[in-house]
Amino acid sequence: MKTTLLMFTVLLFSVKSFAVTKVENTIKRLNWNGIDVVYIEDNRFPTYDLLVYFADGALSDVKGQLGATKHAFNLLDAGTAKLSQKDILDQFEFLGTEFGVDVTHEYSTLSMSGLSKDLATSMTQTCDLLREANFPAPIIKQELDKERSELQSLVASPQALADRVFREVSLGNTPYSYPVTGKLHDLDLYTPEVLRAKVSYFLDKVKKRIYLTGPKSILSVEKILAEKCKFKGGPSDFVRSIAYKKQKRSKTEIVFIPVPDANQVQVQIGRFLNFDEIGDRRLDTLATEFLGGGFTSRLMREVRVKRGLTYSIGSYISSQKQYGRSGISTFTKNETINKLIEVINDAVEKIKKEGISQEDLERSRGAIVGAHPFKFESNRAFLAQLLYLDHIERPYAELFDFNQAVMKYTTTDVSKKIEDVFGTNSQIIFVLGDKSIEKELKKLSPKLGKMKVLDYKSFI
Amino acid sequence: MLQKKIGTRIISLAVLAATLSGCSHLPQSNKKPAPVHLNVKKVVLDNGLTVLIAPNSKLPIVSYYTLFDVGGRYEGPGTTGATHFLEHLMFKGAKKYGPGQFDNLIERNGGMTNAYTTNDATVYYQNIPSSFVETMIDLEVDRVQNLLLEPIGFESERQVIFEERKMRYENSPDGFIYLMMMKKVFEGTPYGQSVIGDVEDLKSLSRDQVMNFFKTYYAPDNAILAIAGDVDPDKLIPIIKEKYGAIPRSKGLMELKAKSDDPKNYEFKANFNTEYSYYATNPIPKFMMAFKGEKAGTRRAFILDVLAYELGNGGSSYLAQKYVRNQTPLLSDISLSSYNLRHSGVFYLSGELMDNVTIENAKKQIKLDIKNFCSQALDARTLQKTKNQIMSQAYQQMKTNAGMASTIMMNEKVYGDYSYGTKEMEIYNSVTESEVKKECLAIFVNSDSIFISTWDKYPKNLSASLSLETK
Repeated sequence: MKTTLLMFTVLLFSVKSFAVTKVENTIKRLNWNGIDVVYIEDNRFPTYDLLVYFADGALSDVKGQLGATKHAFNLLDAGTAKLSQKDILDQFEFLGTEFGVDVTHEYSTLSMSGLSKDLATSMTQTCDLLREANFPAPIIKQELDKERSELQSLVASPQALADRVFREVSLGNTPYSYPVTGKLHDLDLYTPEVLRAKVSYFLDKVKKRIYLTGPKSILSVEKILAEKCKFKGGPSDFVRSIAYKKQKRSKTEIVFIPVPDANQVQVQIGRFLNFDEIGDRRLDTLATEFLGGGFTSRLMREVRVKRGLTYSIGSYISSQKQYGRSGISTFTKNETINKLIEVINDAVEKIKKEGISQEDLERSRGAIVGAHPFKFESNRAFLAQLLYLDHIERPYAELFDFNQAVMKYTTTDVSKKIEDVFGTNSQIIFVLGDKSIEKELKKLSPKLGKMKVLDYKSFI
Repeated sequence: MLQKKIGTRIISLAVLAATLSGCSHLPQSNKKPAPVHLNVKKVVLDNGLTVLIAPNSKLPIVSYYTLFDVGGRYEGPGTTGATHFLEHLMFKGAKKYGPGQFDNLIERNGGMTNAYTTNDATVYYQNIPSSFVETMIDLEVDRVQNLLLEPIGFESERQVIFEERKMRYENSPDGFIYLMMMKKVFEGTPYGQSVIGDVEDLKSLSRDQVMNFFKTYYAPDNAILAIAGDVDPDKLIPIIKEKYGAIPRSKGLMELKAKSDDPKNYEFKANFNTEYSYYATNPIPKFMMAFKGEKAGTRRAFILDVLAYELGNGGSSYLAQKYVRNQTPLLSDISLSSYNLRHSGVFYLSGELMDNVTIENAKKQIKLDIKNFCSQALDARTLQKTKNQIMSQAYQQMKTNAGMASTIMMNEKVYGDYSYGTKEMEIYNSVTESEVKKECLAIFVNSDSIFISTWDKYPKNLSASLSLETK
């Protein structure tokens, strides 16, 4: 055991040392026309990665336009007065440029990557889209019809359907529960005028930040951002922040979603996390690593290795700036649904009663510390880490001091975190599967909590 | 255990000093991207193990890939799924590192480990801190030399595989239609056996059968080890020689494989003028239209890759514009793929209907249109666009240690040359418009196809055992 601990200590210090000298020093902060820019020089390949951050997201969608932000960004390539959708897509694809958008409740991002010699061309096109996208009605109709079709097919993808429904159910009556994509009945609301107004709002009112990596030559994109995108920053730029009433769940509830002809049951167990429950993200990482973070996690051992009840199981605590959510996610065959839930519950209860051992703590700590450098390997992933820390208003030191911070946690910290977040008396136990399992599932009610049955269609 | 990659395209786009001419109407620079030098050290041990090491000291991390040249195609009747089953069992313990220790040691040191099985190969991979490389070597050597295959672990893993099978195929319309397409296209050949295994075979596979499979195929002269990351080849190679060098060569394996790999075994036997309908859980019909494809490595295989990209890659492609992105779309999604296996291949179109379109109408329309694809869709600009896309993807792939290790390993396996990526890019860039048109006509005008559709309105008895079908 001593040898093992010594090995961990050496590893921790060597990783920290590397991090400070090799990675942290490569980050440069610039300011372009009032916009903060984070740049990392990388000369290994003639390529670039670029992210544009907007400090608002789907929370900006008012009733009657829910989902509009996501669609405004998604449909940017629908057309401009000068270019058709085909022309726009063709231009990006000709250059091998990857163009993408992502919208969360709190913030939105636009991403681009490709060959650095083509950044100027691709950025100019992106600026044209941001400034001149006019969302031609026929294209919008066609894209939304396609989306309707995809949503109606969701029932055939139990895992994706479970993710979508569980998210809304577990976030309950919070400002974050409605899907950023909107629902089927919202699709009629996205007119060209609504979408254009959304993009203009993000361009002209919302705080932006740029994240960029590649050879130095790509810094010439500054001129295009100023002249073509007309990006300009100032102290009055809007940053989304909301006040909401804290949620307190005092008992566990079983939610069953019947779907036709499923020979496998999807299970998710979790809940909403209030703003004051998400402060220590490094402890969250350590606790979820121990509980369901890999093949040697507690849940994987109990559920898969010992009993063969599933192919995979994992746990997470994810958070944005003002809220978070927790979850245990897995699946099993119809016949073993109750057994699976009982095994998970027992595992969590055992942690509550007996805590975790020092050896367990060292294993989990070693896992997240050793894996830490992988967060820097892909340029895009590294940029995303920095973007996230900026968004939640935490210093980059949290990334580079990660290893020392993780060392301070004790076995009690970890078991308490698991009890607080995954405690069996305050969860939504979400089950999506064939109607035939309902009767069996009900047998868990007396022990675990009331069960309600919901129609999946009201969530799409 | 773990992830299984069934049906991944084997194009290993790699490193390039290739030309990129600009015939776009866009004002992009005409400068060529700078050439990339591949820094790889290769040694072949006395026992036949091929070792590739690509040093990269940017971060103190390493990707460690091991390929065994055995895939689902070597399974005989009644033993489908054995290769994949064995892949799972390789994580269940060996003599020195017993049950649970393999995962435990890797994960507690910050690594991750996984594996996948295809028709042609089994690949084990780890992403680990560089300080753990020597232990990783010890772990890999132990399980290849002294696998336990304990009965308890064997049975619980069988149940895990049934759940994996449901997840990937029975409850996944996309997985299910792909599985049925492969079975039908390669019927009567070694590629017609499902890699995940048929249910009855999985139920009856014995420990002895799997152990026999292990002893036959898991030999150093049937493997490639590729390591990319923060390592010094000069220091690591002696350690690899010492540890792996003790594993004996195979006996009779090359003769066995030569017999199994007889090209005659891989000649198409299916009737390519047939249609099949299967019940699946998708409420909106899906379809696949499959043509005879090409084995990996030939010039025709490269041309078919280019053809698939030209016609179907991206929202601006001909097929997307014709069927998905127009005023009255027939389909909500379409794609075209060329899957080049080691000894054969399949070229297939797949799509999902819009909800107001019937499968009969869609099929009729596509079959009517198909003869015009080649004259309407292919030109010099789309060819250049395809070449640009391939190059851009190749760069992206090489940016991580895992991408590098995987690429050099696959190139070594398929072409016998880890640096074949450079040559590969030269071949892609040398493909001409007339070559693509010729192959396009050969596929879409002069060949028959197998048409498969799935829908939840089809009678359930059409698919219950994954083996019933209507013609």
